Amino acid sequence: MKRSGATGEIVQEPNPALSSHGSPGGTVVRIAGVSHSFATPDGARRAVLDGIDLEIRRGEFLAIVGPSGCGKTTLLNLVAGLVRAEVGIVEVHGGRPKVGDPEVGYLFARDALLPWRTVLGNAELALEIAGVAKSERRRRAEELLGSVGLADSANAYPAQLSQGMRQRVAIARTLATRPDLLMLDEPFSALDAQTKLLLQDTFSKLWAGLGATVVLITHDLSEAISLADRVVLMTARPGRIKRVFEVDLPRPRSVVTLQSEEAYHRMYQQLWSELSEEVVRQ
Amino acid sequence: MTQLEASVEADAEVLNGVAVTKKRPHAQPGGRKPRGAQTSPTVRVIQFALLVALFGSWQLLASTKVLNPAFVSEPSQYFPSFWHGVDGGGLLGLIGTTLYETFVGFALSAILGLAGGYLLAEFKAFDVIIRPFMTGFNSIPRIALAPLFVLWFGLGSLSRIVLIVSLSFFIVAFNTYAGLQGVNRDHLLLSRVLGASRRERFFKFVLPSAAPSIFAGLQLALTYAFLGAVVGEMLTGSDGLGGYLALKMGSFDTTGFFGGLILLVIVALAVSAIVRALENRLLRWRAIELAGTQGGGQ
Repeated sequence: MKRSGATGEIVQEPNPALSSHGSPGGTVVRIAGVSHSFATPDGARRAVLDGIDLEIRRGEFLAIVGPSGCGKTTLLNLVAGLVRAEVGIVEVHGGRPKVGDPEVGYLFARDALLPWRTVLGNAELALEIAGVAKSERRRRAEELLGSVGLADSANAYPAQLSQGMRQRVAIARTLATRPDLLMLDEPFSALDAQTKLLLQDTFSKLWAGLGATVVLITHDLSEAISLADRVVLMTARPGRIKRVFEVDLPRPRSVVTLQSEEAYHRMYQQLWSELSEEVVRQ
Repeated sequence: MTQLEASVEADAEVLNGVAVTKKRPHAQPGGRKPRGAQTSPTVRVIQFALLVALFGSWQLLASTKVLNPAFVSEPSQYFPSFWHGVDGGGLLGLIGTTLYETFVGFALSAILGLAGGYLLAEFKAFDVIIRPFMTGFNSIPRIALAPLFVLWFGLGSLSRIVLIVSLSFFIVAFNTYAGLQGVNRDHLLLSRVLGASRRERFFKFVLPSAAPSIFAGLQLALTYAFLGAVVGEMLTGSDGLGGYLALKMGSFDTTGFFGGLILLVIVALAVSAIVRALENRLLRWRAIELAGTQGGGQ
């Protein structure tokens, strides 16, 4: 079922048989032989993903990088269950992806805070929908606001916050339900450079205490290297997996101090030289 | 958005002094002063001086016969006339009738308009089939129908209430519809990935986001309800404050007319102050958002 030419460059363990059911131990997300296309306005179909095979291990931090339009977000939508794959299999926790699965948390570039709710109200939103009792959700939301450094702003409205603070609230909202799998779609891309560094560090520390599996989609190579255990590099459209890099920098890492590590720069160079080929090809 | 709704929104901006329905860019951090913050004493003094100048020059022009007092009366006459009317002259009873019609008409318009706007927003078929009729009916100048309503529903309050509903229903319905349609797509995506039920999506995401637009519609509908009541009464010349004004004009009593007008202005200002206080309370977040935009943005 695999498309020819799609897998030649993949550096990865062999693809499990497509007919096998249930997820192997330690795998949270299994993507096997997935291809997908969209209808264009003139009626043709444009392929966005081509023969993707990927297993995301329990507890790992996986980053996906690639040129614009390579289908990164489509991949995320497939895992979220928002889109069903045309070809291939996508499994989350051993079953079909479900929209609104409380085990899966999302964080987007835009914070989507509800302007009529206070910071605390926004942090409680996901818990409310998950049906958590009032006192319990208040306690958890307050605790998380504390850990993202917003304990003092609990009663402010989103309009009174800076962009970075708003995204911190979104992080609190996402983590409040204690999801087992976190899907991050360029969560720091709307922030200025300094705020971004601070928030990456905050997130990295929070993640270390959670043990959740993270899939981070990003344009930012330094973000991918400094946060992730593995970096998946995708080709230009239609997106295939070009290479998977293991990031063996020691943890705990600090996004800022990594800048002085030589291994970090080597990896950055290597990633960039491969990515730039794809960017140019577009 | 149809031209009609646009004109409704433009009206909302002018009549209420506050553009609640207008979409604004995202608030910038920085300016935090909520709208409706205390007006400075200097402004109050200037406003008071303007008021004194208005009535002073009116009095002066009428006393010196530059303007014919038979046509414009004079403040020294119509203020006492107003006071006598209120103090035992039956004006309060008349305004009671007018307010009764206003509020009953407004309440009916609000209930029907909210339901209508919801149906339009929620059911595509309803929108496609019914909305052209609503737009068409709404483009008729309803005041022209007032005599017909009198013929059908009599000289009493009922014909005025019908006139009010024919005006205010559409304002509420179209504003509710626009508000329910204008939900942020990011919020809808969030409601999906959080697994919100249909009910939760409506009450936690859609309705709160429509609230400013709905509120602006209700505010404007109330203004039109009061207008409908007074104009309806004036046409039949029978009841309420409008009837009183028509009677005074009919007997060429401009002093009595202006006396009644003062009460009209006071009531209108009081109602709008109550509505604004309610708005600041219910939509505090919106005030903060707008203040942020004005303080940081422009």
